[in-house]
Amino acid sequence: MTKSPVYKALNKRQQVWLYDREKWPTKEEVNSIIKEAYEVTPSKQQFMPYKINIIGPGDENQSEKIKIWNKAVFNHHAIEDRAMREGKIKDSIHLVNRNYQHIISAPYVLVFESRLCENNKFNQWGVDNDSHFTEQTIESELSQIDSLISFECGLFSQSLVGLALEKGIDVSFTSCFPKNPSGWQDTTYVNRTPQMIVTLGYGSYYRMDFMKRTNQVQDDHKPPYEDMINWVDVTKQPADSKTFKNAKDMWHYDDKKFTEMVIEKSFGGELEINKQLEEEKTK
Amino acid sequence: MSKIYETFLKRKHVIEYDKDNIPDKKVIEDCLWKAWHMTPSKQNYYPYKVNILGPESKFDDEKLKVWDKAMHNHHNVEERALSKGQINQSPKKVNKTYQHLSDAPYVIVITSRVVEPGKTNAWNQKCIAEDGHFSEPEFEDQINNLAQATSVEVGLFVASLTGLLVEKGIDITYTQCFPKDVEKWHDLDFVTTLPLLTCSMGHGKYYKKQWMEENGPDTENGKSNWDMDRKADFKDVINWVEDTSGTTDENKTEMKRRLNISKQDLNIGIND
Repeated sequence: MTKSPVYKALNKRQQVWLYDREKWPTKEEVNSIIKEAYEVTPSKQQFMPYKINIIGPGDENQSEKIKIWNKAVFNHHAIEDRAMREGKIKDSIHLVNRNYQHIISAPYVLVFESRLCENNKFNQWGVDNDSHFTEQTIESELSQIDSLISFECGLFSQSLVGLALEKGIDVSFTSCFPKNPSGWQDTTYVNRTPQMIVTLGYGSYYRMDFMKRTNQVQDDHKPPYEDMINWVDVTKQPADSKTFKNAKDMWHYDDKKFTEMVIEKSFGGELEINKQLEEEKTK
Repeated sequence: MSKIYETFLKRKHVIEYDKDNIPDKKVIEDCLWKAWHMTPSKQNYYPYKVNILGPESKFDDEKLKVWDKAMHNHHNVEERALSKGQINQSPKKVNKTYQHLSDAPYVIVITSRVVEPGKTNAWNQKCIAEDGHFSEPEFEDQINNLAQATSVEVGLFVASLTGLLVEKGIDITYTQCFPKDVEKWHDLDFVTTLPLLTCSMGHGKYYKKQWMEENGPDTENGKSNWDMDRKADFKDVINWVEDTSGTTDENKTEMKRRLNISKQDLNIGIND
């Protein structure tokens, strides 16, 4: 039996199909766990280059949630249509997928999007006095760091899941929606690349309930652990194993001085840093 | 006090790992298994692979190659910014925040993963056969289309792993600076698809926080690098939407129609 509180909490998560429409967490409770998730989630250079737009539980917000749900459903159908055109599936049936139902019934719907940031004092000092390049502050560079932003949204969300589940609040995800902001022009709040949709509330019907009722739990298993986790064994490299090219070839740098410096640092640079750090520690 | 909050708050970015105190491989294996077990994935596909370089000396060169990727990519990005006039100089310093990759006992490179059609689970196979389900992770040409969603899932997995490791007093540090072009990884045989994240695990000996606290313009008067390196404001990141645009009557009718179909679908369901 594991004693890990993290495992116990996070392992409880279930994908919600329907949320309880009679009872939901207060805005203060939700804001409190979001604030805690914000405090514990790290971000490269402290930028947190994403914005979380929250649609609350009021009746006035219901049409907005239906609008978001609609985007998931339409996107699902658009992907199927494309796959059919490419010959990857035989038919595009346009079923209304129940996996998106949580968006409509959730009291709280969170839409994550990329965010244009401002430098804090430390980053600004680096920009002014060094070669520090802060992509998060330049509109045209945001697309270059899209995978970073997505990764950080995932980090935030899993912290949020743990904190919410501790309080008995369910969290569900959807990553099927138009990825281009132009597909969100009918909203006032999504203006940059949307990253993910997250819902919060008290679940009343779960995907797992359906799978259990229809005796299909065993059919919907994860891939084997070994397919995902690969302890690299360098003694078993393939016969056509690629040789290490030098940095000049790999990076196509033309400047002779620079390439020499880079090659030198490829093997040995890490020792230079260790030396610098040892000196700093003894200051 | 929330145990989750306390645990996650402890994570710190490592600059240098303790080479004399290396976490047992069984402990790392246990954390990886639990992270795999407790992290969700869309339709249970898990379209990513976690490649781990262990603590044995035979992996030293491989770790240096990973470190090399981060450093060169950093310089490459600087060069690009300089050429576009976005910065004034590109001194190509060796950035100490990547140091963890070269000396960590455990280094991870997460890559995208194409699911073998024969390994798609029975539920998804039923959906493919009966509902026209498009099984994107089975297609290599969909890797880039899925990259954003896969990166979110990598974030979920790594957050789970972080919590489990930190509970055991083990540090984990992330680096997202590396070439996204798989060709640039040709010298590492296990990287054959889109790289998504690099990170390292072990017992930290010297942390970024320490360095930040000890350095800066005027450390004794609250002007250390740490004092200046504040997070983005909460209000800039969190937006409680108050002003919505509503929807048109035409759209409302269509939505109601779809909503009704969906409600009916919930009652009968696939494979009932």
